[in-house]
Amino acid sequence: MNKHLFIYDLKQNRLLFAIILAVLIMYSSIITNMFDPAGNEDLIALATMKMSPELMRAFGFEIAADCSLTSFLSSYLYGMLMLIFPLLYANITANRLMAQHVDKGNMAFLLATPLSRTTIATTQAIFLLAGTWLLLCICCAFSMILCHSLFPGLLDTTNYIHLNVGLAALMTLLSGIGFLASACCNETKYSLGFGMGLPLLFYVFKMAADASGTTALKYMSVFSLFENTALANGEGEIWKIVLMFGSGLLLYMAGIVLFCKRDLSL
Amino acid sequence: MIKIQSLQKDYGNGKGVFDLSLHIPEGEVFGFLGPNGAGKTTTIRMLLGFIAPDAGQCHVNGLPSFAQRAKIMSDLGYVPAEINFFDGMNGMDFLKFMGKLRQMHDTSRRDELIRYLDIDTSVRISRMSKGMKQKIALVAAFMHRPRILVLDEPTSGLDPLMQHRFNEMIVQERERGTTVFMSSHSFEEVERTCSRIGIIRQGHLVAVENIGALHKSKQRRYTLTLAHAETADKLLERCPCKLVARNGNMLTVSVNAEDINGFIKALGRFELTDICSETISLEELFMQYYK
Repeated sequence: MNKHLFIYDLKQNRLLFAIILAVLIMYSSIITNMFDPAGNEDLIALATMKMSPELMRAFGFEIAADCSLTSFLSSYLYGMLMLIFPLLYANITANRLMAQHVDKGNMAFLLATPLSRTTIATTQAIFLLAGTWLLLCICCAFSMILCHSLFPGLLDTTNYIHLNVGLAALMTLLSGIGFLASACCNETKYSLGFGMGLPLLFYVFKMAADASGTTALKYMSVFSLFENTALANGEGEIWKIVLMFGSGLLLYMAGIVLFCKRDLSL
Repeated sequence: MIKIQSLQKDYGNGKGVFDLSLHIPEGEVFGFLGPNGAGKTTTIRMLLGFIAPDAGQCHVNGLPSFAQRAKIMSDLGYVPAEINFFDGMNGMDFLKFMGKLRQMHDTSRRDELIRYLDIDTSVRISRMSKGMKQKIALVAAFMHRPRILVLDEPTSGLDPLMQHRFNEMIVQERERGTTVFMSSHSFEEVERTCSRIGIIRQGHLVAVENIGALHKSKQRRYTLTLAHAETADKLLERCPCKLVARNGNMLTVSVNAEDINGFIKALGRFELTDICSETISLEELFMQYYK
């Protein structure tokens, strides 16, 4: 891990981080404000007018009228928005941290310093993981404070934190895919193609699986390991979270090892 | 200092580097010549451990290139053939960044080079011309006083004045005992600074020679414009030279190094309106050397 490279990463990626964070905070505020402790019949009626039941399920908008605030957020926020926007941040950044330097050629200058490739790749991996987790932490903390001020005592803090830990595990896995692709590709089009394309394909499978109820599709998507509804009800399975964290970290390590071994035509 | 043994990298279609062996002792300034696509950059990439050879090995400073590349870099300066800097920086930011990554504390050489090459380091990298980028890259390669310099076409994009200053820099480094490995596609660029030259062609090292020997075998070529076109045949007869091309009253002739004096004396009897010397391409130089 190299401090100076980390600081450069920070300067280069802070704008994207700020934009994604702002979008997530805006959506969190809007959606939290939509919750009605007396019952969400109006909201469901309104949503059903606009969307078919399949579409509602595809976007993860599945709630009972008398659901808890935690379930409400897990469905309306963690069914799509909190999946897609952190994914965008993590995997665009992943591409910029490795593949873009190789594609543009400025990686040659990094390699011409006494920094080992392991140090370079590890620094970028730590930056990516730390940034992604920080994004989720800020969003989680913001939501908790907002819920506390709007609906004191209604949020089940323990389950809500479990939900967010599950999300962090999922994002570790997804950003791991992005990092591995970025470490292995010479061109950003391939790095983004695999690193962003594969997670998005998984997301499409998840949407299709949710909308149609097809189990085969469900097993083809890593998103199925993140059970937002179950986690919000305190029924999440710990092995799924461990699996996501574990395989995510393995992907990061694979990225570092392959980057050290491969040819870099710079 | 630099030891290359039976190095091989095959990219297919005859591209790559094949069975290349080369030994460069400490303190030598070595010119690595070859046309575009001959394998110069591929050799340099293997030398720096950016890519692994298919066969053979290379050592820099006694260390194997691919396995010990980070260690090698602490005493090496490198100018890549294609220069791309980091986004969002100006020239000085970049040099400071590189200095920090190298844990370089003494910035005196850096500042001296900036003045010497007359660089405005406050210009943003995205607004820099090719020549400016080249100069910044030179500073980045020289600023930590490395004992080995690997320069891939270091003078491309530099104007004649800066090319001259660059040559002075190499002479300085030579006096300091630095080992320099410099690639180029033209003989003229390296003949003033290098003591030995290797010529690479389609991946094969075809000649390694002292600069003196190459210089001797090098033919001089001149284009003469005659005042009277009809004197051309007589000129070719009387002057020790060979006709290369003829276009009306313009003759292009080649002259061997030892015939220069006789050629000039004989030329005095003819009325010329112009004379200019032509540069010889690397391919021709190579052909001449093996004649």
